[in-house]
Amino acid sequence: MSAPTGSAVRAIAAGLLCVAALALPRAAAAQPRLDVTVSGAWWDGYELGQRRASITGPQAPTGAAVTLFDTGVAILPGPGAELRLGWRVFRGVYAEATGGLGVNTIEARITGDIEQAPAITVSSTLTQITIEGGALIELPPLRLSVGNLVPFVDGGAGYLRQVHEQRVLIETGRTFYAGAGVKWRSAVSRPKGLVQRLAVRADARLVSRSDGVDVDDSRRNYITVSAGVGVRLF
Amino acid sequence: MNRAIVLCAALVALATAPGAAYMRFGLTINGTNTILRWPGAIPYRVSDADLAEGISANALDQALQRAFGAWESVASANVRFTRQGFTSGRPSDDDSSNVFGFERRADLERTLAVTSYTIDIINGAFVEADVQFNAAQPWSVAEGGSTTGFDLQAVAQHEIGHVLGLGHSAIGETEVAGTGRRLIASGAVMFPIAFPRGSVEGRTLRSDDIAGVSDLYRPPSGGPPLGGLSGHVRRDGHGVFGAHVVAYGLRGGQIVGGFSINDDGEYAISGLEPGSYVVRVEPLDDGDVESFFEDTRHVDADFGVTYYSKIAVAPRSGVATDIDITVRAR
Repeated sequence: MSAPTGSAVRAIAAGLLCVAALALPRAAAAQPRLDVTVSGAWWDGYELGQRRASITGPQAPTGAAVTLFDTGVAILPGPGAELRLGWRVFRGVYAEATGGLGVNTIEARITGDIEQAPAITVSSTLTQITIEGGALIELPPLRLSVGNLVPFVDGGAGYLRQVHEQRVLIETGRTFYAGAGVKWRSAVSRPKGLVQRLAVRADARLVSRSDGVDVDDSRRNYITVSAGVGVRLF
Repeated sequence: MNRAIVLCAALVALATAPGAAYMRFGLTINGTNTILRWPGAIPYRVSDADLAEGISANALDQALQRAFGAWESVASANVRFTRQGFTSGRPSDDDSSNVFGFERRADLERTLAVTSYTIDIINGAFVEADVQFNAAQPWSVAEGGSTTGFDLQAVAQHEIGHVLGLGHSAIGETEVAGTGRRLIASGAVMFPIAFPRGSVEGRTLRSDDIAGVSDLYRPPSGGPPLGGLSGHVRRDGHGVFGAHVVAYGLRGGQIVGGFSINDDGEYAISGLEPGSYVVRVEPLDDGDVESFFEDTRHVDADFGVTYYSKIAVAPRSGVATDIDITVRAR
């Protein structure tokens, strides 16, 4: 995805954080509510780009690049899990913290070796951990025959920790996200018992990442989708 | 004082150990490998004797200062030189001072310059290091290079690398031409075959040179974090001696080399910025093997280029181990 999309993600995330900040002084007016959601997730992959391993030819006064081999580097999609804690600060507005764990693969495709070595793809596992904070705004619910379907938008920012195989190296970065999703929950306004407190939630987020594992300093954008079950603790 | 002279022309790695990126010079003293390294600022004198045609003493002095400055400017290394002025002495004089200058060596028709050392074999300390530029060759100090001669600063930078204790890098490509080799490309100032006349590319230190000097001369403060990769190169279940192992940084594009240095095929590449690397192994066939190893009998150059099957990751400090690569006969 292009850079303007990443800027849009940051703008949306910032806007939602502002909404949440404005709502905070009124938190006392909202009935306290804490939602906990555990989700299975799919973190999409993205291209990191092409790089050329080259050395310098003998032309004078400055030499031309002579390619040893080419690499195309990418982060491949992988499974993940996410834990969300949502604290209602105002009617329909939640401050939300998310912890995510994704297992992806970093891959390099090597081609064009100067000594005709066969093309090869090499890879290693990359465990990604995110800790993010943001705001979630619920939109008017759709009333179903059983329960309510509540659409929402959310946005925020966070910290990215990328752990290479065998924990040889840990790299860190930052994330911004903007997303949308739906929650299905019981229509009972004052739920009693575990079943009435349960909710089902599906999320899709566009994440804009900087720093961390990369081939340059570019910001990268990718999508995560998740679905899980939540419970309203109080 | 017991002394031994090690000539750069022989380019022997008398003692190499895991942890050595590129080739470094060393001695085995009482069974212990001692890597040659200057303990502080390195003093030097400029010889104004036997100057090459068209090169004045001042021009030599200025070219040397630029070359020293290139090494001193490596931020991740603590290298300092102290200029002690001109001398009428020659580099080949045994005078316990480090002298850089010209000597006419018509017998060395393909040699541009030679670095020689005098080493105290009791404690492994440098006593003297001299650099002879061959006055029988054509030279240039033109700012933009000149096709009339080899760039003096570039060749000086290579020899100063030897003075610092670095051996030859194998990051380069050559082809046999007549009884010599023709340069196709070079990726390190310390590659043993120079750029041709007119080229000034040899004035730019490359990632392999920087890794080498950074590993040998870490700043007192520690400098930026540097890690390494190590493992074995094997063929048919046996270690390969003399394989050239290259790490290519996926983020910075650094190309840093090392060698498997014993019959177990053990290698190590140090001075790497932390991050992800592609590791490539190739036979040592782009330079005379004697340029890299004293004992060339066991060097195995009969295998094809092979990549490590995974992405290797250099840590922030220390060395990632077990980066093992199995090669096959061509």
